[in-house]
Amino acid sequence: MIVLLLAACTFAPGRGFGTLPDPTLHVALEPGPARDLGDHTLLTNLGWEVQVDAAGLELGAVELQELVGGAGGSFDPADPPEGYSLCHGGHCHADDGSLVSYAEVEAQLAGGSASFVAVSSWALDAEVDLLAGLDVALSSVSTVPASDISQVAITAGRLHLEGTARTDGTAIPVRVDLDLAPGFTGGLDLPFERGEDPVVDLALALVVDGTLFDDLDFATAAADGEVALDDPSDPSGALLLARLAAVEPVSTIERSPWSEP
Amino acid sequence: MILYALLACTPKEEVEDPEAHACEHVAEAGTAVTAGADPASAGAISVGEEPYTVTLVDGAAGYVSIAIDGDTPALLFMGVADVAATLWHETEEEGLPAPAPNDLCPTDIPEHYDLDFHEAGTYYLELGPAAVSDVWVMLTSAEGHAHSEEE
Repeated sequence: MIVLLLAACTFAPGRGFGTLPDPTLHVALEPGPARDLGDHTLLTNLGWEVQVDAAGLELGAVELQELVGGAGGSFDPADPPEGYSLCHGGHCHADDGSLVSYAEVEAQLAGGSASFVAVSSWALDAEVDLLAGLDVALSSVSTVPASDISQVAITAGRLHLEGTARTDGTAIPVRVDLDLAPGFTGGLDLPFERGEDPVVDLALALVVDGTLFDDLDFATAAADGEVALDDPSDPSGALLLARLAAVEPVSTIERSPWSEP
Repeated sequence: MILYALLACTPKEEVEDPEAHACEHVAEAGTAVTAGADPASAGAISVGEEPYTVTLVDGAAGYVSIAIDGDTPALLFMGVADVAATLWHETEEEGLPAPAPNDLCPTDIPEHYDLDFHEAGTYYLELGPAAVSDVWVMLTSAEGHAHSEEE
């Protein structure tokens, strides 16, 4: 486990309404019990066993963001707007079958007049070894301005991965080199305002799970004896990009009052 | 304050949130069912209040059947993520919506699916292939789960 102390935190000017004393970030490839065959090997939904020998993900910065500008962006989860249904737990089901965070729904309702603006941010600027995992102690934020943080964004660069896909005695080398920019976003409900406990323990996690290669038929995708997933316009590359685009940072939040002097 | 007063005046109705109900029963193995290697040999589960432990087909997809009388909104809770593969109505694939954790016990129930069995017939839930041998499953009505006063 690598623990880094990052001192590059910045925050927007404003009146302090809270603090983030010990924010953390966890990044890893974690197949989960249904897909974990051990030794960094993933079981896909098509029955392929993909042994991952190396996986590096370039990450830029972590931002806690609030939606600024626009009007009419708020909505009642009990009465979802057109195009969405079954809103609960911070997500709505979009008509296309995807899960969309409340923050993204609000941004869509506000149209182009609203945008997400960073309230706090941390620079990472590192390639993370997804197999080893990374646990980062982000620098504390002593003064968080009054804000309604509704999204965490983690900017990303390229994903480099090497491995081997196997099934029924067939083994095919796999190489991934794809640009994941702009990165990953996920909803969170983190208002800093009167009436909210101001001290926030925040744990962020960016986990790529064992469904990474689902629906990918390596036999069909293979060319010249290997599967090279390095072209976003190629159907297999696009499929992998779509899988990665669905990865959302998740947050665990515990709030408490100011400690007594 | 006004809201509290209004809530206090609401007629008492003992209806349990299906998510809470699933969390309460997640430690129970429930009824043992074996997934079939094809729909014809699928073990049966039903929309109800009790959990199931489904033994999966080793290294391949398996199926459990669900008999539906008519339009039935339901919640499918899974004790292990990424096991549920798709949903079939008879021989037509309907697919599954995007899952979300059970908000009340996300560690124990990492996935639930909002389903709408929109017409009568036999549905088949395709499970796996998976690296686990069995999975805890509960399929409840989305309408809510009523407990009697005596419970």
